[in-house]
Amino acid sequence: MTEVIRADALPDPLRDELLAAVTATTGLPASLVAARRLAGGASMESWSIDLRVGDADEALVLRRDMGANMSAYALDRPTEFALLQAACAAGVRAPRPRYLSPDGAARRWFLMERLPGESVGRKVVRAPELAAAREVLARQLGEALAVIHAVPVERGLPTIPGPTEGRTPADEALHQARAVLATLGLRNPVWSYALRWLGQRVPAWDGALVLVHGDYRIGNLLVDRDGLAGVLDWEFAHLGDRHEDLAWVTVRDWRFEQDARVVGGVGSLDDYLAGYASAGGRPVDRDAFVWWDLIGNLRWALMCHAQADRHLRGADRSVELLSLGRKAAEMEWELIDRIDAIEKGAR
Amino acid sequence: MSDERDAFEQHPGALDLIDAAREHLATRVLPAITDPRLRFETLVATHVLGVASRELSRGPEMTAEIDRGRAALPGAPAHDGALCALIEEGRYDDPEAGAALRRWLQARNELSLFAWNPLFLMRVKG
Repeated sequence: MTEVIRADALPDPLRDELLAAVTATTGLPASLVAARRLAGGASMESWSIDLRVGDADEALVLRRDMGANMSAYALDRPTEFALLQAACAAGVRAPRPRYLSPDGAARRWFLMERLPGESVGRKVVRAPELAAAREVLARQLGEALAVIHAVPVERGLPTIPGPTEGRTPADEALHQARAVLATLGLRNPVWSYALRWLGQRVPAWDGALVLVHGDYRIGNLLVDRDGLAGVLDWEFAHLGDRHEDLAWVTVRDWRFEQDARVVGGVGSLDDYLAGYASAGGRPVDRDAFVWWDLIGNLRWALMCHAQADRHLRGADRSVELLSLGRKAAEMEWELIDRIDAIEKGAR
Repeated sequence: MSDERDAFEQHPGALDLIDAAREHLATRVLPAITDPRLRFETLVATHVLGVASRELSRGPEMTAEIDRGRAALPGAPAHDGALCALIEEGRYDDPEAGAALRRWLQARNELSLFAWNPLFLMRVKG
């Protein structure tokens, strides 16, 4: 049974847990000024939270686990909290993490600073007041991604997943896709064909293992009138190939119907890659980029079915999750269309 | 009422019920919802009823065409599972068989998209 929560009422036990954690961290009395449930998010509950801590006001966002995990590869909240700390320390534009739930909390959460800006994808690609931001956004996305990929991975990071010993990041991505497919127990010839085609064309890897955000796309980025204000939602972060992050934002579904603007429905690939290079990003291999774009479509299609499965198995009954299973047809169309164009030499 | 109808034919039909529920959500429930999360979820519920309606209304001849197309592929697979096995064995690795497979897969995808999101199909096909 889905928990019903009023939009303006933080449940009392959660409120008490938050305030106790804030006081334990700061040594100051804390009180709740306002709380508002935020829309969106199939795996995470989000709230806008205003606190009074000692004599200061704090504008925060709460990220809290829902029920079942969205993915076996997702970070838990304590690891995401520690990763955000490390990313912010390395100069990544992201909300500073502030307070973490206690170890015994039934559903883990953390509070992070609330930055101004819009994150809803459909608004980012269309809102008239963000028109000037969209002019510069593709370049900024490239620049910000270069900063993420430059975060030192040898020290200071919490333990996050990476490719299994002996596998390249691309091998790992194929392995994970096959594992998800096996879990789903479904047979779909589009997936079989895409997996075989991609498996025969695994790109060469230069061995550069970087911090990969793992879900770097419109919808997970805060945008204000000046452009990119912050990178959100780090739960899928891992160590991997930069091309995985670079290509993900170009997957058609993240363009929110603004198809001609290849980068997240806001800008051009040339601007995006120029921004990446200008901020110190390593050279981009176009074949690897295309490969990761294609497997991005496949992974998103599989993830959509995995979400529908959460409903069908009764773990999280939700018409939204169920509907995603049908949405996968969009990515499947894209996969076959793109592969067909490549086979015809019309990339 | 005629007694010549099939005993299992119901009136109003399943499509009538689905369309009525969809219309109710769209015109009576959605305008009254202020909570953004609940509004989004109700929009999704309204959409999936539309998906079910389009799928039920498309008629058996469209799925029969897809089945005939699959059977005409190299190896003549009888169902999707058999086709997956042939793909994994490499039966469609050569360019001609691969092209035939992709044409059929796209016809299959289009049938899914007709129900799920006809606007997507219009957009990507120009």
